[in-house]
Amino acid sequence: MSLLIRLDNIEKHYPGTVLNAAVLQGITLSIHKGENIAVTGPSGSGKSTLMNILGLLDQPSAGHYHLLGEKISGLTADELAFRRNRTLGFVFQSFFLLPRLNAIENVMLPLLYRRIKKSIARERACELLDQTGMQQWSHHTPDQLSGGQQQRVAIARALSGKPDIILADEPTGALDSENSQKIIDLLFELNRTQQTTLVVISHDPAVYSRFSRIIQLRDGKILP
Amino acid sequence: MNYFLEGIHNLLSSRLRSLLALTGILIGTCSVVAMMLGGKLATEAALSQFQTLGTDLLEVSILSSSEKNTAKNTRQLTPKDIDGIMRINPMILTTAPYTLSYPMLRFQGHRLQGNVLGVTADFSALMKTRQMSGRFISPHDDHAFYCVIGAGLAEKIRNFSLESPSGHFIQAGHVLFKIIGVLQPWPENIFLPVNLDNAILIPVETALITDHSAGLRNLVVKVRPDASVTATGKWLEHALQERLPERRIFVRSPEELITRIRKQSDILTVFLGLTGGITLLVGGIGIMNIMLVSVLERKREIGIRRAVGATGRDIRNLFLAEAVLLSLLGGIPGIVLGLLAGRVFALYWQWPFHFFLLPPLAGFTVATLTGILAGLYPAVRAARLTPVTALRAD
Repeated sequence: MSLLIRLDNIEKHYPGTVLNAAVLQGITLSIHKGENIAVTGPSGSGKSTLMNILGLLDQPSAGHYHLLGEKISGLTADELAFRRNRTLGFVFQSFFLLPRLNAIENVMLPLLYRRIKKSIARERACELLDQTGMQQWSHHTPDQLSGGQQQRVAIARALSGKPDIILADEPTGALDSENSQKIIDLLFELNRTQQTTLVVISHDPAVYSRFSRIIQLRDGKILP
Repeated sequence: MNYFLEGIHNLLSSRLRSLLALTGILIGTCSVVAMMLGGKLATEAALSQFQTLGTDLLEVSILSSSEKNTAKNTRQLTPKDIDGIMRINPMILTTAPYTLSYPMLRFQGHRLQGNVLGVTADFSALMKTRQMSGRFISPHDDHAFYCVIGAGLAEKIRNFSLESPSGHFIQAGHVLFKIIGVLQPWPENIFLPVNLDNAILIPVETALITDHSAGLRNLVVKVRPDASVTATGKWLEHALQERLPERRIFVRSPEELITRIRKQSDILTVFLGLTGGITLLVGGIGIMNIMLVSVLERKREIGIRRAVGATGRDIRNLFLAEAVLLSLLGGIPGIVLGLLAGRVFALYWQWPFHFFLLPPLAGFTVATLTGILAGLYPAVRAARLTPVTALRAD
């Protein structure tokens, strides 16, 4: 299995906070292609910060992060945007769809930022909505969709760039248990059929217990 | 990425706010265009009176010098003296000397307001007068007591006498003149110190013998089309001064006046444009305000776009496109309104209306620039947001 991500002694401080409190310290971990990983821990344990760092949305204060063998510290904001667009797919707790765009336009967005032709992007978005069971809703705006449906659109958007890794931050946090199961089923199916690496943050035992690897965080450290 | 299409989408989703922002730009652009166009039209109207007479004319004033020269020691000039001087310079085509006096005018016992001009036959061609009826003064009238009256006087006479003034006598001072012609209305012109509409025109010879106050003090000179008006004017000033050392000579050319008026009006146009520009500035501040609010409100959206791969430039262009769109949506109707306002000015002040490219072009340019400048700061701020801070916003 090829190595996708390697974190070495990652630390994150927020300067200006009390005692310059460390949110993450000494985080060392490797993620390989095709893995499915759950990150869990009580609130305030640093799960979301870890996710932001993994997702190139935030920079660590210290330590090394290698993505696909490339050291990411020192990359410019635009270079990071480029890698987010090609390598990573995000699924958020509150879906984060653009309210003014309909489902298919939301799914097309990452492709358009890749400067892919609109017609091709639309075709690809259609396929993905089909795959996530949302094709008949493709022209609905987010406010016309239920939470579960919105999350399916968000997953389709995360997949549109054919990413190596999907990072999901509490993807079922805003859903009822039935929809939660369906969303996790969908993610597992993608993991199984397309070898998409899955990193999911969750503090719900019904969710994280299904993953083959569980990383437990407490006070910014990984529990052994 | 089609930023403008997305921009329209976003502007439409907050219609009222967009409308308010573009109203500011609309008023600003409208005033820039209207002010500049108004300035231009006013200038053209002022210049048109020169252009109707042609720019190949010179106006000469011959004044007695500051010492008190009475008729005793300065001989009266005659048209023949003038003719003699003019003949020397082949660049001079026609000369029309005229006298001007202000005697009391009476027609059938009614007093009239007006002046008396002693003119030669060439005066008509140079001043582009046209006959409504009868004829103009001819060279054969010599010392005759004939006159041609202006349209305004004729109108007044008709009002009380209820008949055509032609053939009747008009009294100027103590002398009676037979009316042999009536002029058509004559557009007032600053080249001539009087309005021909309220004048009676008599042969210059007659004027010189009947009224001692009416000296030959003015000439209008037409220069050959291929000659330099300025150079001929200089020569004329010099030649007349040499022959008439006891008098002061002033030569004015319309060209000189036109340049002076143009220069002044250019300054006026710039100032009017600036006044409009201040209104536009206020509009620009409005756009900046709206865009800053929009950036704050759409932090989350910016974060999402960044997360799925938008670069800082993508975000900057998105907001910049919206600002420019806003200013164009306000600017283009503003230009149209400004042109309409110019048309209304022209109607109100009876200026001839011309279309000038500069005001709408300037309006368009400054509206677009306002959009870019007002949008740039909010757009750059949006682009500088880090994805994580943008996403964290609620």
